[in-house]
Amino acid sequence: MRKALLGISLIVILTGCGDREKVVTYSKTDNTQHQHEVEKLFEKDSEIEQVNIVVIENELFVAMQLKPLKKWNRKKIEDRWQKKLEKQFANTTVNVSADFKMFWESTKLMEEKDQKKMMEELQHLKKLAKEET
Amino acid sequence: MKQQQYNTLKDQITPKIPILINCLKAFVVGGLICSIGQAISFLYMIFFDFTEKTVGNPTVATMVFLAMLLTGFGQYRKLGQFAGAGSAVPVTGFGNAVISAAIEHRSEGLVLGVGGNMFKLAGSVILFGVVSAFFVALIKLILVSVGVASW
Repeated sequence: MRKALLGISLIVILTGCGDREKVVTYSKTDNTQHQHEVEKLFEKDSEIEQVNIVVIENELFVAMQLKPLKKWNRKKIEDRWQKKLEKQFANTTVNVSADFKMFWESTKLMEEKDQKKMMEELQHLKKLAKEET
Repeated sequence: MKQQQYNTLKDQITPKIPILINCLKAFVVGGLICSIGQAISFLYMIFFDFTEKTVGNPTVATMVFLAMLLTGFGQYRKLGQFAGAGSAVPVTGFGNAVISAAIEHRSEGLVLGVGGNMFKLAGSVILFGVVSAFFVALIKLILVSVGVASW
């Protein structure tokens, strides 16, 4: 029992060590200025813990993880970022989500090499984000 | 023996209820059950196409199903004796209430025994759950209409 407890607490402590950068971006576009502007915007926000930004052609997909207490206002924060990004990047299709599933899948998506498959995955994610049932 | 005498005697004899320890046990076991639920919801999100918005339904169903199995095998009773409210308040308590009533009345037949008594305890949970959900939704509707909260 004591050994099991020790093992569990060790795992809990070690998972806290897996630190990564706040903003991770994957970009497949010629316009790198876009990318840097978005990164800067997210770096400043104190409500966000981690964010994945995927930029492919004229698609901007943002999946973020909010700080625990900020999750109460998830919808508000999502809407605010959606409006902000849509205003800033008028010719781009913007999708913002604070859902864990989107964050997890976008992390996996960033490792995908095949661009066609990536685009398909992205469309699937966008569809999934709208799912209600 | 007068009533006052009886009451003092009763207070002397009755063993003290360890409220703090009971609360602690309930807190730990209840928290553990919730952690298992959280782990299951992560499992559904990682391996299936469920989002944070939709993962609640399969998670609740799985937790209730697990509690039903444990009740059937007689393990949930032990947990209930140890943790008290910690095992009754989470949704697993609902599964336990359904199955334990069904087991209790199985000797009275499948229709009138199991079927008629299965929701004896859980029926009130469903009723008050639905009623309170209605009022919560009503309050939220008012708050959204005023502009304080958002859907």
